[in-house]
Parts: sequence; structure tokens; C-alpha cells
Amino acid sequence: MSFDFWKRRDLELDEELQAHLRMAAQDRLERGEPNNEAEDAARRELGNLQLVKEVTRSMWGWTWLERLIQDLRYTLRTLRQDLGFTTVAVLTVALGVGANTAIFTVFNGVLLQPLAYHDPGRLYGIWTSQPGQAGRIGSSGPDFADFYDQAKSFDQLGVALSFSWVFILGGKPKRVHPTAVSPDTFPMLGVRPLLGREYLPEEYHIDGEQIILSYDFWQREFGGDPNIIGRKISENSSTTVVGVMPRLPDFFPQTDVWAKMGPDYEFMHWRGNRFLRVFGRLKHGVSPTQAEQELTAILRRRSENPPNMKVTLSPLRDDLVGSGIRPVLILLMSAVGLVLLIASLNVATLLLARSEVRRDEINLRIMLGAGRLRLLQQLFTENVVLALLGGLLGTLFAFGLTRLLLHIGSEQLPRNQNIAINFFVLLFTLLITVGASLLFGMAPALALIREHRAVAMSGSRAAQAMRRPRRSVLVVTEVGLSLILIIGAGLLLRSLRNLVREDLGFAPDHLLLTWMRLPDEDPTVPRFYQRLLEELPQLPGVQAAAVADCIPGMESHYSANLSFPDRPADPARVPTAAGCWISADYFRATGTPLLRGRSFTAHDNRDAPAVVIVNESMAQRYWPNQDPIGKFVAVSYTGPGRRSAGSEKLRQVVGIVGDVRRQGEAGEPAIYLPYVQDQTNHVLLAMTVYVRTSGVSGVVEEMRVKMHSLRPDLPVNISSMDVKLWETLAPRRFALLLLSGFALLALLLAAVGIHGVVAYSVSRRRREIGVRMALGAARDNVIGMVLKEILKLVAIGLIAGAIGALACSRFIAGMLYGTRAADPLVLSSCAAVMLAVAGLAAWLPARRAASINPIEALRSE
Amino acid sequence: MPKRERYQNRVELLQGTLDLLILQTLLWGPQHGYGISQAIRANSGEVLQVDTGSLYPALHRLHQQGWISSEWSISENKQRVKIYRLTAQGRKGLTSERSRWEQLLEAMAGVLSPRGRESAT
Repeated sequence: MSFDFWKRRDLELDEELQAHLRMAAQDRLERGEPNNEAEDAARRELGNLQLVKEVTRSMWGWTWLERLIQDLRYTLRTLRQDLGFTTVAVLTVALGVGANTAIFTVFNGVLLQPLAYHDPGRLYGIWTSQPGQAGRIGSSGPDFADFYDQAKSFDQLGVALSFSWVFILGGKPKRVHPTAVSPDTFPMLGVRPLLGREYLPEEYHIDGEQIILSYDFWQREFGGDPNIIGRKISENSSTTVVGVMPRLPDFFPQTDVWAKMGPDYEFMHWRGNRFLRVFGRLKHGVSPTQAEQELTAILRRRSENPPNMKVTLSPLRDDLVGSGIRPVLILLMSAVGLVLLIASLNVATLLLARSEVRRDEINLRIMLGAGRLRLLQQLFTENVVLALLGGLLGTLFAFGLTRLLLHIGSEQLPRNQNIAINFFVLLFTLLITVGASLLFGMAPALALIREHRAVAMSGSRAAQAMRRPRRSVLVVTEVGLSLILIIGAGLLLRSLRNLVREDLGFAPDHLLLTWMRLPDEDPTVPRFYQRLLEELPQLPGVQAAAVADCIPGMESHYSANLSFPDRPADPARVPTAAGCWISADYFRATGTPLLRGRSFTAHDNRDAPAVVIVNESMAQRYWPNQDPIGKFVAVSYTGPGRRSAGSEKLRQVVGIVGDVRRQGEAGEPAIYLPYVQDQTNHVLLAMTVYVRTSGVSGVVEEMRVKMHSLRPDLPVNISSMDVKLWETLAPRRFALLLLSGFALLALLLAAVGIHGVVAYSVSRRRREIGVRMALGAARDNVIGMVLKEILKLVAIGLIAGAIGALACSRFIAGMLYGTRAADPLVLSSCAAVMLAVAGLAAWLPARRAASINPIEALRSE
Repeated sequence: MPKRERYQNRVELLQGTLDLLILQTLLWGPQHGYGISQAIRANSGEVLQVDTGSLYPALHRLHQQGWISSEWSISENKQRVKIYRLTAQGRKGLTSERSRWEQLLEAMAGVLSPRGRESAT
């Protein structure tokens, strides 16, 4: 059936009724009635022509579609007529929907989408932990071997470990990121090489000269060369490429080459050194809890392991996403939800004001017999059309906003190659758009029902007084919700400020650092360090230079298990401290104060008695009420590539330094050892160089030249400590930036809403204001009267918002530092901002009220 | 507005009856809407006034049901008019409507003149 069919049927009905009228008039004429009266009488007899038509049409069936088309055309016409309203309403919806779509795109990509592997629900990360020790840690080589040999819960178990190498590529030394895997890691993920082959089982040992490239590295360094197989990869080794893996979505995305992990690596035999990441694919029908119990039992069967060790499984997706971004995204998702709510309330306010303007039109339609349902259907169509227009524009916004988010947040957002607007996201957009239309359509619909009842009963306007409370609810809610967002942003800002200003226990300004990775088993390395530490301080502008295998203010990968000769060892509660091997001038270079005793000197060499320096926290925790200086402690050092087997020698405490903290963390026990007293030489493989400068320019370049002259095979990337610290705040800055943006948006929307409400109420009360002015009210009195009314509502909104913010504080509590949800300074300054904006938004139309000419106002009605 | 309520009541009252009147009128031959209303009026001795607002919805409903068909033709006054014609289905419908109506009349009579019922007992 074509559209013509409906149109023709409509015209025919019209013609049929017209014919009826003519015949009736004709009959009356023939009976002798006068010409004009006959026609009128015939028409009167027929009754309400429109109503007759409508009732007749309703007999046709299929009319809902026809009505819908009618409604749509009517809607488009009215929206076109009131372009100002339409623009504001569509933009408001678009901002709300756009922000929600963009954030949901990120949320979906990072947290919701399953990993792109075969049956990803069965992939788990395996962690060990020990009560009394902070957090969860990985597994050791022997742990993994035990799991591998004994566990029956898994189809496959694999290991992965990231580290660093230096390759000579194109004549230049370059740092590359290998991730070593065990034979079952790729089969566990269900991935096969893109080119070439996997490692053969017999190749999983140290001096195998084969390497598999990651997809990105292959593209970046070799332009995706299809003939790469069999080529030498680095000019400083004979390693040849045997395969290229496809992109492994989200699995160690930094990886340049996939190295292999075999049982002949020394660290694979250090039972207590748990730094391997172990993964497994659960067998069908085995629950994670069952697997945890099995693995825990396997660990506890070994008498060398602490008896209270525990194994926990976490879904691989959560493992790869990390725990940091989840609360940020949940916070942002809640924030944009509030923004959409505010936007909907705003549109509701606009619609209410407009429905007042359209009262006459609606009244006319009610008098002409339009049914309540019919009018509601029309209203619903209008709202949905409005929302869909906004949703469409919002989706366009969202494309831009998503790109912007990826641009500013690429470092903070894991799995960011998954972040894209897809079908699922668009479904969400449609859902919230229709939801918003129902939300903002509710108030006008209620108004319409009341209007209908009033007009149907009395045939005139009535019940106006009932209108005001509802508009008040809208203003109060809008102000309250906006304040919640502003307080959230205020709290994050205060936290960031506290973090930036925090004294970390060392001096991050004027401190340069560069990380070095030196070749294994190179006998010239100790001499290199020696020369570096002698020659760097002689450069102009350099005050002190040092090397260390830790970075102050950053998380340490290494920890030291301690034992004391004067107390019994409890395997269930091994005392630990953060460990760091340092050169003599480390504390001077980093600006860490020595509190008591002495620093290391050149005399603390390989042959001298073993010594350590401890920090304040360590002194207090392990020697409470005693002087640690002169006491002895044995240190077993753990971490990637750190030997922890063999006999541990006793070392004497010679000094105490202040705590060096990470941002937002309390001080933890730490122990410092002279790097020359590490008999294993493992520490020499990777160290960070520190240089304290006097602030003159050019030091960076001189340092680079000096290091290059000492070791041309070393890639040198120098950064400054304060920049590095600022970078660690990036996730917080990301959250703050977005939340502030949304708070600003909310503030803007609330301002528009308040402006609309006041402007509308002023226009409705023109007559009243006119009377007041005619009776002698001054301009200021009128402005004051209008402002007082709205500010009363704003004040209630502020109180509601403050209470709401406290109620929502658990969303943000984990991200606060040095402040709390009920921070009086933040609460009061945010409320002040809200009040100021609301006042300004109300003042503009209030001023217009005062310029009403009383004479004109009184005449107009 | 009370007008609308009154109108609705009337539609309800006439519901089944009007269909019957229309079908009965069309039994004598095809007729247009105005003609049907005039015929009902004349045949009822000017007692039954068919409301236009009920007539056309009823005609279109019967048409939708398939009991009557319609076509455009030219009236004696040279006007284009839509005339309705009883279909075979409509004839059957008329018979059953009639018998229902007669049952209703009997029942009404029974209620209105209780004597009949007494004599039956």
C-alpha cells in the first residue's frame, strides 16, 4: 500500500461527507428553507466534521501508521517553527548523549569487551600471596614447574616475563622489549604465527639463536618485510628470525620480540623469587575456585614454601586491564550519567515553558474533540523526534570526543585498540536517547493530562497554581546534580594539588636520570661504572652522580627478604623491605637526607665488610626502641633477574636515611646496599644513572656525549625526575580533566535551565510586575523579588547537592588524597561557584523584568 | 465538554441497532449514505434520526468487515456519490443480526410485561 492510497482514501471520505452535506442542504432548500440557513442547518445536523472524520478513519485499521506519519509531519513543522527552542533542546540532548556515548565507548572497549582469543572466559592469571605481605605476587620458576607437572585443572599453563635488551638496529643501539614465553603460552591463547614457525620444544633454552618478532615490531622496524624469516635481527648478535606472531590483542602490548623461557635460566630455579606471570586455560567444567584450591595445595606440599601461601585466579581480561583504570571509568560513567540527567531536566524545563506557549493550540485541539490518548501520542512523537535528532548529533559529537579521549588518554587506557564506536555502543546510545526522551517528556505529559481534564471540565484555563511546585523540583534537582559533579571535580583537583606539593623525601627538581641495560657477561662493565661515576661529576653543571637499581618515588620491582641473627625466623612471616643497590653518592644525588650514621664511601668496596643503610621506617619497624646502627641483617634479594639462592651474608647497618615515598603512599621500610658488594653481579646488568645539576642548560647533551663516548653500544634516553613524577600522575590528571569537563558542562546546562525558568516566569508575570511597578515598586525591588524566588530554590538545591555528594562519595573515595568527601573548603567553594553561576543566570532575565513598561504590560492582556 | 460525552453515549446505544438498520435498508438496493439516513427516517415514520457522526463510522466499519461493498457513481442530481451495496456475507450477517434483534425484543417484552411470564409458570 502506497502513501497515495492513504491520501486518496482521506480525500474520498472528505468528498463523501461533502456530498452528504450538499444533498442535505438541497433537501432543505426543496422543503422551502432559505438558502443560507439550509446550508448552516445541514452542517449543524452533521455535527463536528473533524470528529466525524476522525472516528470514521479509526474504523479503517492501519491508522496508527498513518497517524504516526501525520504526527511526524506535524512535529517537524512545529520544530521548524520554533527554531530557537529546537536548537537549544537538540544541542542539550546532543551534549548529554554525546558525552555518554564517548565514555561508554571507552568503558565498553576497556572493561566489557571479551578478549579476542578463543574461548577467553577460560583464560586466567595465576597469582600467589601470603597473609601479612602486601598484595599479590607472581610465581617462581619452581612454583611454575610444580603447577605444570601436577595441576589437573588446566588445559595449558604458560609463563610470560617482560624485560629489556639492546639491539643494534641500523647502526644505532636501541632498547627493545622482549617478552619471554614458555612452550604452552601461545597454544594456551590459541594463536599461531603469521609467518614462519613457533619455537621448537628443544629450542627453549638460553643459547638458542632464534627469535620471533611481534607484529608491531615487524611493521615498525622492517616495514612488514615478507622475507624476514632467516634474517639476522641485530648487528650485535647472530640471532635469526624464525617467525612473526600476529598482533596478540591486549597481551603484553609493549612486546617487540617474543623471547623464550626455558628451564636452564638460572632464575627459574630460585624458589623464593616470585616474579613470573603465570597464565592458564581452565579445563571445561573446572571452576576457578577448584583450580585455586588445587594450586594452593601443590604449593603447600613443598616444605620450602611458607605454609600459609595461597593461590588466587583472576580473569585474564582483568589481569591485563589492571586495577587502576576501573574506578576511573566507573566514576566517569556515573558522572556522564548525571550530565545526561541534567540535560533531560533542562529539556523538560524548556518543554514545559513551551507547552505554556502552546496552550492555546492544545486547548483548541481538545475543544475540537482530540482525545487525551491522541494528544499524548502526538506529544510522545514530538519528544522522541527531538531526542533522536539530539541523539544523532550526539553520536557525531561522540566520534570526535572518542578520538580526543584516545589522544589524551592513550597512555592511561589499556586495551585502547578496542576502543571504537560499534554496534553495541550505538545500541546503548539509542537506549539512553529514548530513555532521555521519556524522562524529559514526563513533566509536559503530566501537564497535558491535567490541562485536558481542566479544559474538558470547564472549557477554560484552570489549575495554574499547580504548575509552580513542579518547576521548582526541576530547578532544585538540576542545581543539586550539578553541584555533585562540581564537588567531585573539586575533590580531585585538591587531591592532585596535595600530591604535587607533597614532600616525597627527596628532591626531584634538577635531577636527571637515564636507565641503562648492559650486555650479559661482559667483563668491562664494572670498569665502565667506575669511569662513569668518576667522570660525570666533572662535567660543568653536574653536582653529583650516582647509579642505583631503583627509582625514588616509583614502585620498586625488587624486594629484600630479611633475616636477623638475633631473632628466630618464621617462614610464615618473612620480614621484607624494598631493596636498592646504590653507589656512594646516591643520597647526595637524589637529595635524600642522611639522618644518622654515615653514607657509603669508596672504602665500602668488594673486599670490605658488608654494610647497609636503612631508612627511618625500617629502623622503626625492625629495631623499635633500639639503635639499628651497628646491628646485623642478612638480605636475600628478590625480583626479576635477581639471585636469591645461596648463602646470605650478614651485613652491618652503618646509617639511617629519611623515607622516600611514592606519591600518595606512606613510607615503607627500605634497605640500601653498595652495588659493588653484590657478589652475583646481576645488579650490573641494569642500573639507572642519576645526575644532580646546578640548573645550567646543556647538561643533558654533555651527559649524553660523555656516556656515548664511554659505551657506544648504549642507548641513552635522559629524562628529568620531576617530569617523570608528573607522568605518574597521568591517570589522575586524566580523570580530573574529564570530570572537570563534565562538571563544567553540567554547570553550563544548569545555567541555561535556570535562565530559561526565570525568563519564562518573568514573561508570564508581566502583568503582575507591571501592577507592582505602577504601584511604585522600584527597579531594584523587582529584580530582588525575582532573584529571591529563584535563589531560594538554588539554596535548597545546594543543600540537596551537598548531601548527594556525600552520599556518592564512595565512587570517588579511592581517588582522593589528603582530603575527604566532606572537605569543608571544597564543599563551600564549589557551592559558591554554583551560586554565582545560578545568580548570574537568573540576574539576566530578572533585569529584563525590571525594564517592563507598566503601562504596556497592563494593556497587553 | 459535555457535548462529546453525549455523542459517545449515543454511539454506544445505537451500536448493534444501527448496523441492522443499515443492512436492512441496503436489502432494498444500493444506496449512498445520505439516502440511507433518509430511508431510515422515512421508514420509521420520522421517529429514528440517524446521526451522521454514527452513520459514517458504521458504514466504514461494515465495509471493513466485508458486509457491504462500495463504489463511486453519479446520482440523479449529477453528483459524484459513494454508494454502498450489500454483499453475500452481509446478507448472512443481516439474517443473524435480525434473529438476535428478535431474541432481544422477545426478552425485552418478557421483562416489560411480566404477565407473559406468570402465565408460563
